Amino acid sequence: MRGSDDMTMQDFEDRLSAGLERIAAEAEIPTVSAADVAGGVVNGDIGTRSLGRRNGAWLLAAAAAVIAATVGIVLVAADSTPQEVATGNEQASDLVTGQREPMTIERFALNETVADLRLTATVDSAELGEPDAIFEHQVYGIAGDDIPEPGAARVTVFRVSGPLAPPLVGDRVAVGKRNGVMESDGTVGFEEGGATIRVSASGTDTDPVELASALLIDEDGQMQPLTGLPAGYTLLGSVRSGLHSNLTRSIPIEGHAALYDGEDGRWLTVSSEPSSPNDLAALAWLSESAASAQLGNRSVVTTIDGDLRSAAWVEDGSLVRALGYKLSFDEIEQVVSATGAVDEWPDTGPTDGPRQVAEAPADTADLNGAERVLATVVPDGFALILAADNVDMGEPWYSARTYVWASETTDEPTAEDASVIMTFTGLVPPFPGEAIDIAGAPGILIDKEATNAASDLFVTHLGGTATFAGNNVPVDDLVALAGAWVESGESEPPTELTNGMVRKTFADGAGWQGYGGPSGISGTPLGTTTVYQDEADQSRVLGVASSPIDGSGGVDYVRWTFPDAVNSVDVGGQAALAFEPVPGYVAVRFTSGDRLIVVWGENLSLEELLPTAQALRPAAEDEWNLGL
Amino acid sequence: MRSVDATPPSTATAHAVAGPSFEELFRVEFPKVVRLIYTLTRSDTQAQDATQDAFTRLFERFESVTNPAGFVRTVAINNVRDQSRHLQVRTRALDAMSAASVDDPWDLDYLADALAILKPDRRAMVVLRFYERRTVPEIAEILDVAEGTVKSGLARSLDQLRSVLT
Repeated sequence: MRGSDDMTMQDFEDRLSAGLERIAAEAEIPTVSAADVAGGVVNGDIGTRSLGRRNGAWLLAAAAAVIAATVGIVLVAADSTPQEVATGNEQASDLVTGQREPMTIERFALNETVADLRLTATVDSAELGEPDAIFEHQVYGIAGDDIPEPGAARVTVFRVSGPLAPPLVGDRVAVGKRNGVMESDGTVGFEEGGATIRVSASGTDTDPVELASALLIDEDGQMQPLTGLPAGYTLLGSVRSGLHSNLTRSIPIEGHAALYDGEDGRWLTVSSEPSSPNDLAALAWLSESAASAQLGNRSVVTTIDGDLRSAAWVEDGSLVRALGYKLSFDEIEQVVSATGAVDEWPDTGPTDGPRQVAEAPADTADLNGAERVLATVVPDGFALILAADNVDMGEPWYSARTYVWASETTDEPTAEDASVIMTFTGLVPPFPGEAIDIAGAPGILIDKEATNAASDLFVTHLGGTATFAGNNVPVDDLVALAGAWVESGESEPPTELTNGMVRKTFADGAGWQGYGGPSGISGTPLGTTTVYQDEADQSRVLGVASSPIDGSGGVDYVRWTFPDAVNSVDVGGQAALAFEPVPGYVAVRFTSGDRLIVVWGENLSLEELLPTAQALRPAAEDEWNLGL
Repeated sequence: MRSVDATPPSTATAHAVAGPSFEELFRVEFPKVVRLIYTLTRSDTQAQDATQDAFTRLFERFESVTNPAGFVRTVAINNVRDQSRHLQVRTRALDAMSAASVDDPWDLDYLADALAILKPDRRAMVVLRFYERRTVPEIAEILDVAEGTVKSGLARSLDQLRSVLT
């Protein structure tokens, strides 16, 4: 029979309290004194007590807790049977403080119930009657598989007491139920899910073992709550990256970080200087197959993919990634060290120097937020590329794809240069800027992403020019589509494209239909030259795509010009931009009303062109394409 | 073997000077904490292990702990919270309740099963509140959560318990 449903809350609470008290009254209170607890910690005399199963268990727990706190006691067993061990006296604490002084041994019988206890000892055996044996960094159990062989020189450590120095490098340490290894001062590494977790608390009062214990996942693979996370450490919460969307936790610890990838159910580690969750996420992504290393004075995450080696680190809050094709990390380090900070790249570098080929504004949409793009091609087929990007975009490298081309000796990237660099970025031919024959008509690939997420193909045919833009469409498909148009003999490009493509066309250079889309760029043609501008701020020129202005109608390469390469000039009192669309030509761009006007001249200097532009400006309202 | 002295490893501590000694605290609080944890787990082994571990930890840092009674509860509850967090524990409790013939919902076995279906944090809130009769601020401090969390947790727990106990 159930209780009354109309029981008042107070009645319910009273009955609940009474029931809980009755449960509590069932509890068996063990006969453990404060001295038992204190003595277990202080003296290391656990072998002398008659311990029941529970007390054995609690002593294990207590010992584990002691270890977790890096405070404990040493007991030493010489060549004894499992049940016959020795315990250290006060001198034991000297041992564990790293002094490694000889110690006096007393023997006691050990209760069997502490059978699974395995801890660490570093002991000079001189006083054990085994003067030739040195015991260091050894872990033994006193029962089970690790029972020391009788007669062998053995050291068994039970507990560690007193003010204890951190375990020495190479020492095995208990991390919960796992064995960790003290890899370097203040850093503990242990295996988890196939990955090595490294936890560092160097320079702090925190015990790295305790910290590592806080990171353990339970036997079901679930995260243990981060109880015990020392004060001063922050749980950053969920982080996301482009490739790992389920990184659930990150814990920065003295420049190191551990992240749990819930998607893959494994731990990721990074060793760098994370400055934000996104930094960590990006670094974790990079660290998938990576190791930590030093690159000069930088802690970097390195990856090796065939001949391509990369190192990534955080500098000034940005992710910096260096890639070296057929370069060793040492060689990469030489280049990086020679170049110094990213913001201070010299004009010359390790050979003739890495060279900044483009610097785009951070808010430029088509750069996906990339702040800087730096590249160099080193002779002999070796290359180093550095890109400093906004890691928020998740794919920090691909975003820089189009802009990372340069050779050491020429302003324009050669096909070979482009090939080398684009290969790094995952691109395959044809490359951006490459001329393509479209069923006999001139075409040029003006943009391309490594993932084919977006590609643009210019085709000039029958006096009209069409741009075929594909989203997630291979360039080959675009070429086939453009070829079909050319072969159709129609002057107008197809209006309906399939497979997610969009079409932007203009005819004979007299108008521009706009080039919009997700990149946020619009353009205005000038003959076969197109000025690309930021749609959000049309006073900004982002690039110029040019074909020869010799009337041939052919398009054989595209050159991009960036704002830094554009000079501001005055045209009749109005600010205008002067730029060189192609070598030998100069152009001035300004707006009049809602029109964009570009005046250009062949073999004219800017000074020679400006008066004409100024003179034309009043009449420019209705004019387009004012050729000289 | 030298004798055991239950003086914490510090020369002078705040507790040694102004508060109860470790021994005094142990004598008073140890049984209470064992019963508290037993009420949460209904396991003597877990209760004793968790409590002794908590006091071991307290001993290590006795001089720096400002609220030793709260500290040992926090540690002891944390020690058993993870073990009871697993879904299967709660599932077993639900199964047991489903299979039980409920003549008296206040039967201790049934009450223990009812507690076991609560999330561990909430179970701890209930036991601290209705067994130890601690205030919301005290519970919040012990469980290291906001007072609002305690209030809402208690309210939901009571609703949940009431649904199976009445």
